[in-house]
Amino acid sequence: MPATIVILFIAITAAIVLLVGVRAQWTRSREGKILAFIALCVLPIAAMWGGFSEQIERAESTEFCLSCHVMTDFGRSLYVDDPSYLPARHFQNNRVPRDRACYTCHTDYAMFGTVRAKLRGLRHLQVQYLGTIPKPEEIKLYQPYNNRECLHCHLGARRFEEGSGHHKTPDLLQSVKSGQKSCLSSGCHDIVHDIDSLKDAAFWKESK
Amino acid sequence: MDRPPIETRIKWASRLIGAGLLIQMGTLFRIHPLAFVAFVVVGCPLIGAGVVLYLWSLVPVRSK
Repeated sequence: MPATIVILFIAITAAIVLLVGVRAQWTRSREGKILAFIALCVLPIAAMWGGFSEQIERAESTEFCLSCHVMTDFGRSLYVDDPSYLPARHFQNNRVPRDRACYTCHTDYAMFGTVRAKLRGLRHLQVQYLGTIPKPEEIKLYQPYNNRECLHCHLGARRFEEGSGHHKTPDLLQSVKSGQKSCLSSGCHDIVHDIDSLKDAAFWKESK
Repeated sequence: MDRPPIETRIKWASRLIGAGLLIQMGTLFRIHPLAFVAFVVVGCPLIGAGVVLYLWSLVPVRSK
């Protein structure tokens, strides 16, 4: 649902709620009681749910993830002008939606993957506002990056299936698919965010 | 003239819910983790408290 509609719905609900409060004597009649129930119970819960859904959806946006200072360098790494940087290559070539770049790659494509991502997000908020914020170079993945996340998009794609790099040895493709060989840490696509090297990097400027 | 207790509670419930809704609406104008925190930590409890107060106002008071 577009954010404008959610905001409008909340605004209208707030107006009705406040009106019922100002005209509390309306609730003396039967119709007034029904109006009060809708205004003070049904509509606020619906508005809260709509707002919550919108907030959860926004939490998946690249803008949301990069709004914490500690993530700035990770965001910059998406603009490195070097195709060997895997996130930059994906981001700049629209292989991931740019407005959801972080979430697309850092969510488990498994049952409850979204729930896990949200719970981790809450933990990140707790650390950001109540805990000790780590240095960018101290930020690590919770577990080694799973090939499943890459295969979610690449599996079956001609470039992936037939690319010469994936047929250097007869069993390479199969071992990648089965997860025996990691896409990122087996020496093939091992330049990821590499924020330590950003000071020497050139950056892509998107033409408007 | 004294207002019936139920109307006083409805008035307070509407203030709480209204404040919660306005805060929630405000948080939707910006994409930021703090907006999310304000939505969940301030907006939701205010609305929850208002709805509970309204429902509580419906419970009939037993006369002594």
